[in-house]
Amino acid sequence: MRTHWEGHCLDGRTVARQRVVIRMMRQGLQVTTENGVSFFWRYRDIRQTQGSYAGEQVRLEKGQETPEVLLISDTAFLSDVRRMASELTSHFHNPARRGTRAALTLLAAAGAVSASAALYLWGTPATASVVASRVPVSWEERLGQAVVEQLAPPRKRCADPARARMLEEITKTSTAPLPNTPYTFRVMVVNDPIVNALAAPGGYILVFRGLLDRTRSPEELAGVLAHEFQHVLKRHATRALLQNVSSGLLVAALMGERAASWPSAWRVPGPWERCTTAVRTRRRQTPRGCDCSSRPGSIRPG
Amino acid sequence: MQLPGPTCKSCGTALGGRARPAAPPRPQAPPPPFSQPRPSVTETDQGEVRQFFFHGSGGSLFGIHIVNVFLTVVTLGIYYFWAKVRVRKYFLSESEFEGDRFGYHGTAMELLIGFLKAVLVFGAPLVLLGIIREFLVRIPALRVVLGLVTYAAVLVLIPFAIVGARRYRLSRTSWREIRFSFRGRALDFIKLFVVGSFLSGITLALYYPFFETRRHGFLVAHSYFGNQKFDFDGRGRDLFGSFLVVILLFLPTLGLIWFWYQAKKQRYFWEHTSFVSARFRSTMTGRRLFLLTLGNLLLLVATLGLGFPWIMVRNVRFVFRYLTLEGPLHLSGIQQEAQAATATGEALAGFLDAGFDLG
Repeated sequence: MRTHWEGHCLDGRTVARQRVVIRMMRQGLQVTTENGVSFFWRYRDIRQTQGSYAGEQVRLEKGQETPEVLLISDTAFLSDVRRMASELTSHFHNPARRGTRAALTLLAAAGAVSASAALYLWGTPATASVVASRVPVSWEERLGQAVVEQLAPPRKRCADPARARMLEEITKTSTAPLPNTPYTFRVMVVNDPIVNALAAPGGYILVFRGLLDRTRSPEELAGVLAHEFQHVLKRHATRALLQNVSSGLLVAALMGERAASWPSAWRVPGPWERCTTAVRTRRRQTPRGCDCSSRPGSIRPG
Repeated sequence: MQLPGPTCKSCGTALGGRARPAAPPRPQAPPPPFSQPRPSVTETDQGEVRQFFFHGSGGSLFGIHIVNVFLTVVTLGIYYFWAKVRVRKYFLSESEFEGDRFGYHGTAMELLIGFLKAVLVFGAPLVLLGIIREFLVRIPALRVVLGLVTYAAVLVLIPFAIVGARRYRLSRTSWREIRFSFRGRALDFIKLFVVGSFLSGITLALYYPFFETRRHGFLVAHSYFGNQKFDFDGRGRDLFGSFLVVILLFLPTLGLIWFWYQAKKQRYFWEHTSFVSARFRSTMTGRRLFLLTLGNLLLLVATLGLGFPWIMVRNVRFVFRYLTLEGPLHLSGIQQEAQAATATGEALAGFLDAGFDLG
């Protein structure tokens, strides 16, 4: 075992560094400078702040604020100092355990994947469910307005008074049995040929023109709307929104510090962004001034 | 905080104080002879040229990252601050100048406390303002006023955060155990930032190179290493012509000219930064910057994002590869002058994504 090592000493006051010889002893390190001055560092007063990775110089510090420092380039020092005083230097990095560290890293990787999956599959939905039930209806309505402004701005809405009356009638009939609902349901038709309908938070329902084209009776449409009303009543949209925010935080944790400044392409899209994407990709070429007058078959409301 | 003058704490006369006798007996065996120091300065036509080195590897950083992710997830995010410190420590302790590594002295607890302060003092009022505006105020004019107030608050908070983050990070960074520091006043930077943003806006971005140079100059010229300050003598008008070229050729070159401008700007900023009698120099080019970015993008896509630690390492290596410090470097007069700093601005910069990075 080698007991004498070369290194450098920094006093924490000036840039000058002095070459030193370090002698390992049972209780600490005996350091002798070029000038022949000696001083003694007890192991318990020393902390190691560098030298835990291959090729990194060993850095030992003593004192707070601006500590004194010993630098030793030969990383074999760590192995020998542990041999010299294993009990007193257990807080130093042990190079012999680097293999174990690799195994632990693999274990951490497996753990990270499992924990992330568990959080994604169960943790965030459960949290979102609890939080969503506590969001005031007025806040949901504001959220719903924001969604409607994005997905169905006035220029994209169909404004046929006859159909509006019909939808109002169906909505009224369908929601009549609901006891004291805090929501005011507003059904809007979006001038888009896709066959779909969706519920936004706060009682906003968007029905796409394509759905009306394919609906053969008011009962069919009422069935679809009833489904959407349940989404609103059970706050599914609000929950999905919260779930996406939580998933975004999870992704930020997975990506580390720089995730926040990554390109927006790495963001997890919210439910409404996903919805608009779907609309855009599935949209057919629609002639200008498209027919906004479609109604469910040739039916009469009632 | 100003530390006392240079007095030797334990290791010898050369440090300006009286040598202290050793507590235990002198070594019994004679010490080995001192070896010759390795040369760390290259003599060229320009004089002394010093280079920076980065010894880290993507693999090691990936290992750190994986453990960080695991612990951050299982602690529901609390470990995030410890993770941040581990990554910073790794980057600085793998960076070398003149044969010595840099050191990072920040602690996770400081970051956690800074985060909580930033949430309470800045985050909560801003969120509250947003909630009031979005959900409670029905009068459109009042909503507009509240929106303007929020915008103004953010405009002031961004420079405040930049200064705070720089003050904190430099105060926790050392080389040869001498701390860096930032001593600029937040108010001065806020003024510079607000006026610069306003002028850039009304001149349709033509003022931007002037603003950017002044902003960079402020941050550099108020930075210190020990008791010695850095200097910056760049002028925005030197970059204005290049900026105009970028505006004119941005579309015809499909935006590729941006890399040329970024490299030129980096070269200019480094070449107008000096320390004592030495001056920085960068030889980075737009083509190399483009290739780096393209390589990073491919790496990111091919590894489905897992290659991010390698990208971070590539970026630092890239900056160091082309960066030198040229001219005589007199370090003997430099004394420790550590400055106190809290991590609140640092946390705020995290919220606003207004931090600063090397290069």
